[in-house]
Amino acid sequence: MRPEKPARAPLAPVLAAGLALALLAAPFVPALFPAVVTVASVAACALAFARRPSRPLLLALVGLAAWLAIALAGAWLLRERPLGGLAWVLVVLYMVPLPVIPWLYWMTFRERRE
Amino acid sequence: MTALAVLLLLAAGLAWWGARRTRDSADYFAAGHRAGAWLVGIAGTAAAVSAFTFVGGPGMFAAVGAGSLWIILSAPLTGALQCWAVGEPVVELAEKHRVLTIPELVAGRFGGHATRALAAAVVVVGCVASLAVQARAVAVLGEDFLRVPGAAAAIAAMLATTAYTALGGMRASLVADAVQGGVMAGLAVLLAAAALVAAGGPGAAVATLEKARPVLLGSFGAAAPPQAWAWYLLFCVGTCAQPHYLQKFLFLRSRSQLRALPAVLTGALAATLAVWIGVGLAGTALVAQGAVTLGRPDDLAPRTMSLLGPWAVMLAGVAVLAAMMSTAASFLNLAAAAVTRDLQEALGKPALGIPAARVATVVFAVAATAIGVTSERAVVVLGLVGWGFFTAALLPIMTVGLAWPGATARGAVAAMAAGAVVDLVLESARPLLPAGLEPGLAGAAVGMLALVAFSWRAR
Repeated sequence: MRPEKPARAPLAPVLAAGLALALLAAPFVPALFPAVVTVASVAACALAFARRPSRPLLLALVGLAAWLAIALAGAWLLRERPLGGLAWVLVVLYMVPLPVIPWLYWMTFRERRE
Repeated sequence: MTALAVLLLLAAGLAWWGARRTRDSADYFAAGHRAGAWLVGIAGTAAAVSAFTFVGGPGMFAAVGAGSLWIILSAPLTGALQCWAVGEPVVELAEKHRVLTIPELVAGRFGGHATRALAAAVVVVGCVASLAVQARAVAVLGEDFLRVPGAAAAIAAMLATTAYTALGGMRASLVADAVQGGVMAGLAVLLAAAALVAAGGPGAAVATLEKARPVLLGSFGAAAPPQAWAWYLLFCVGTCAQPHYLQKFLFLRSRSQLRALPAVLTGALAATLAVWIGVGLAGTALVAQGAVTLGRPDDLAPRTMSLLGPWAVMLAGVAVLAAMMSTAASFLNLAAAAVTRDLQEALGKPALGIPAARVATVVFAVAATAIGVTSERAVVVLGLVGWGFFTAALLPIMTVGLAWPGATARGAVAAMAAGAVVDLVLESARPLLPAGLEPGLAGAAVGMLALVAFSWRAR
C-alpha cells in the first residue's frame, strides 16, 4: 500500500512538539496544567481545521477554547467551596456543553474535503 | 444462574443470525461498511463503557469525591473531538483503501510493513490485557451482583460473547453492542435515580456530604488538582487512540454519517455516566448517613444496590454483564484481525480467512478467561496495559500523524515504540510518580516528540 499524504498542516509538528514538552513539564509546574489541557484539547479538534478550514469551524474552535479556559479557571477559583465548586464543574464543565458541542459539530460539518 | 442461561441462549441465537449474514472479511471485521450513525454511536458507547463505570466509578467517588468526576467531565467534548480529530480522516482513508482494521489503516497512511506489524502488536497486547481484566471483573462482580460463583459468571459471559463474536464477527457484535448499549444507558439512569431517591434526593445527598465530608465536594474533591487535570486530558484526547473506538469509524456506510455521530455518542455516554454521578453521590451520602457500610471503595455500588433491593442488584448485574460483553466483543475481534490479517500481511503472507479468525477469537477468549479467573497477579500486571497504553502508543500517529504530511513511516514506528515503552516503565513505577504525571500522557508526549524528530530526520 502506498503512503497517503494528508492535507497540509504546517504548524502541526511544531505545536505538537511544544505541547508534548509542556505536558511533560506540567506535573512539575502545575500552573501549566490548565493551559496545557485547554490547548491540547482544542488543538486536537483543530486538526479538522487544517483539513477543511472554514469560518464557522474557526468560530466553533474559538468558542470551545474560551469555554474550556473559563471552566477550568472557575474550577480552580472555586476549589475551596464545597457547593460552589461541585456545582461549577457539573453545570459549566459537564451539563451545559452536553447538547452544545455535538450541535457545533453538526453545524460545522462539511460533506467533503475541499 | 437463570440469567446466565438466558444470556447463553440469546448469544446462540445472535451467533446463528450473524453467521448466516457474514459472507466476507468486510462483513466479519468491519460490519460490511454498512452501519449508520445511530447503530455505531450506541454500539461505540457500549464498547467504550466497561464494568468500571458501574463499579469503579462510584467507588472512586466514595474515595476522592468530586475529583473522580474529572475522568468523565470531558464526555461532552469527546464525541465531537473524535470526529474532528480522527473520525473524518479515518473514514476518508477507509473509503479510499477499503481498509478493515486499524493497523491496515496505519499502513495505508504511512506505508511500510513495520508500521502495520507494530500497530498490530500494540493492538494484540492491549486487547489481551483488557480482555483478561474484563474476565476478572465479571468473576468478581458476578459474585457481588448475580450471586453466582465468580468463575461461572466469567466463563458464561465470555462463552456467550465468544459465540456471537466468533461466528458472526462484527455484523453480529455491532447489533449486540447496540442492544447492550441501550440496556446499559436505560439501567444506568434508572439505578442512579433510585439511588438518589434513597438518599433523599440530590440536594439532600449533597447537603449530607457538605456536613459530614465536605472534603469530597468542591471542584476537585479529595484529588490533587494536577491529578484531576491529567485525568481530564487523558480521557479526553485519549479517546482518539482507543482501537475499539477507532474501529467503529470503519463500520460507517458513508462520511455523511459522521454528522450525527457526536450527538448519538454524547447522548448515550451521558445517560450511561449517570450511574457514576448518581450512585457515587447517593451511595457516598448513604455511607455518611450510616445506611451503608464499606470495606473498600469498590463496595459502594454493590452495597448501595443491596440497600435498594434485589431488583436493583439484578438489574445492576445485567448492566455490568452488558458492559463487559460489549467491550470484550470489540477486543476479541480486534485481536483476531490483528493476528490473522495484519501480522500475516505485514510478514508478506496472504491474510488468513474467516475460519482462522474464528479460531483466533476462541483462542484469545480462552486465554484471557484463563488468565482472568486463575491468576490475580497476572491480572494486576495486565491491568497496567489499558487505556493509557493505547493512548501512549497510538495517539501521536492517529492525530498528528494523520494530519501532518511530513510524518513518515520511521517516525510512526518510533512514536509507537517510544510511547508504549515509556507508558509501561512509568506504570510499573506509578506509586513513585508525582500527582499529574499520568503514564499514558507522558508516553504520548514522548511518542509525539519521537514522531516529529524521526520524521524530520528522515526528510
